[in-house]
Amino acid sequence: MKKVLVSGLTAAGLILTATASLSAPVKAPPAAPAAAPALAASLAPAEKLRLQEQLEGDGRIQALSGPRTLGALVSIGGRKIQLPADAFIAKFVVGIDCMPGGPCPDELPFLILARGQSQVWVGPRTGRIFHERTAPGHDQAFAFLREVTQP
Amino acid sequence: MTRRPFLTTLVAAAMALMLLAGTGSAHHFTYLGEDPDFQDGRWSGVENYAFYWWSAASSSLWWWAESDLQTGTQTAVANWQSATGLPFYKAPSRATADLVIVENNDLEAFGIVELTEVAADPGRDANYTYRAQATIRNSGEAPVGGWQATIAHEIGHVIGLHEGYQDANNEEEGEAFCNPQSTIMNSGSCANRPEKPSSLDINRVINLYQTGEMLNLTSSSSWFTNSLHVTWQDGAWGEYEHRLYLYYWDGAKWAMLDHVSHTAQTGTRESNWNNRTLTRTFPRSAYGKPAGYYMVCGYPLFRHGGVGTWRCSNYSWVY
Repeated sequence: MKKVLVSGLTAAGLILTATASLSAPVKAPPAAPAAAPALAASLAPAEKLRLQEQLEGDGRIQALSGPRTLGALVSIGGRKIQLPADAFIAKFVVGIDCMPGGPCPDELPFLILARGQSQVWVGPRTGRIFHERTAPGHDQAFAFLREVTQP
Repeated sequence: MTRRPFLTTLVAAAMALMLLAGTGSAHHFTYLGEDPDFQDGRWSGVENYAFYWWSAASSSLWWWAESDLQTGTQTAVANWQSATGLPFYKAPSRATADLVIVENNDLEAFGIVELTEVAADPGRDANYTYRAQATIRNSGEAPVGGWQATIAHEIGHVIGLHEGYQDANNEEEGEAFCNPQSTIMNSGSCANRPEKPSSLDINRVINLYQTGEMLNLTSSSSWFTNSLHVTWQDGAWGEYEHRLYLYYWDGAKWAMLDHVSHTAQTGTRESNWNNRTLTRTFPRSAYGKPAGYYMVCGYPLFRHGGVGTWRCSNYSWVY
């Protein structure tokens, strides 16, 4: 009995659904709302240079890597850490084309920190060390990271 | 697509973007949305999505390459440009380039791409990429597809494509993820990386910058549920969200009742990852409106940027 009732209701629902637009008591509306914005634009060379000068003049440009990050305050593994004065962010990597057998971090972005001839690849979100290469005699080049990183 | 409508679309889109994003983001295209801690301290970093890019605003890319990489870069750029229509320009100097391509044969990878400078965008309370650099290893064991493919791969990142199109967390630790489909965004250690962008890459970029849409957007209603039920195909290659706008016909105009983001990302390990049927139900009771005509419009949403083509469903009577 219950099955019959359910079937009957389902059939009625289907009919009502199929005929909804026919039996609707209000005059059908017109065309759909207008288009939403899309994108794409390009700048002429002169515009580009003008905008660059404006942005740099406004002080809105921030270096993510290079010598300007010597001794910078960085966030690694959820903690802030001050780089030594002779260490800096060599690269703020957002994509990598890995070599077979080479380091291949699965966390992006990752940082390549440099100190002298040594470097370490570290994931800023997790604090994981993906690769470390220290110069002879500088095994402790990145000892300052130990508190915030994991191997 | 004929040239004239395309140009018209470009102009209209440029104007819309200037209004939406301000002059800052009209310059570059890749938003830094990785980690709020890396946002400039003045900005809260609302674009906080791990491993996703926001590609929008200016689609022009000015490149500069070191001499040994000039030929490979020119070819890689030409392949992207001819296939997608994106405007690339050779910058007159390294200092004026959006993307600098350099060689380093000590690099322990075939190539990497990094952000070197970001610019604050008050309009979005976030930073966007001001300058990027790709470093290419140009000697030793060659990657699948050759060095030029590595340059094309890194350019792919800069214009908004992900490594192998994988989701976060679906690769094995320490190993390159290889998409089973042929794509320039596969690592150079993957067997199926082509020499130049594949149809998958080209379609994806075109979706990103031009034609991404909610395919077969259809609404229906049921007497049982008093709801508007909407279905559509992803049509945006798996990694977008979609923004849906619910409209109600008030007798004089379509009145917007709600807008929601719907995650369409399926992940490349599902066979239908780029063409999945998606659904959303809007119960009429949630909006306090009487029975009447309802419909949904929307477009693919690529992390806070409306891209692609606006589509509307049919309208349905909701009891």
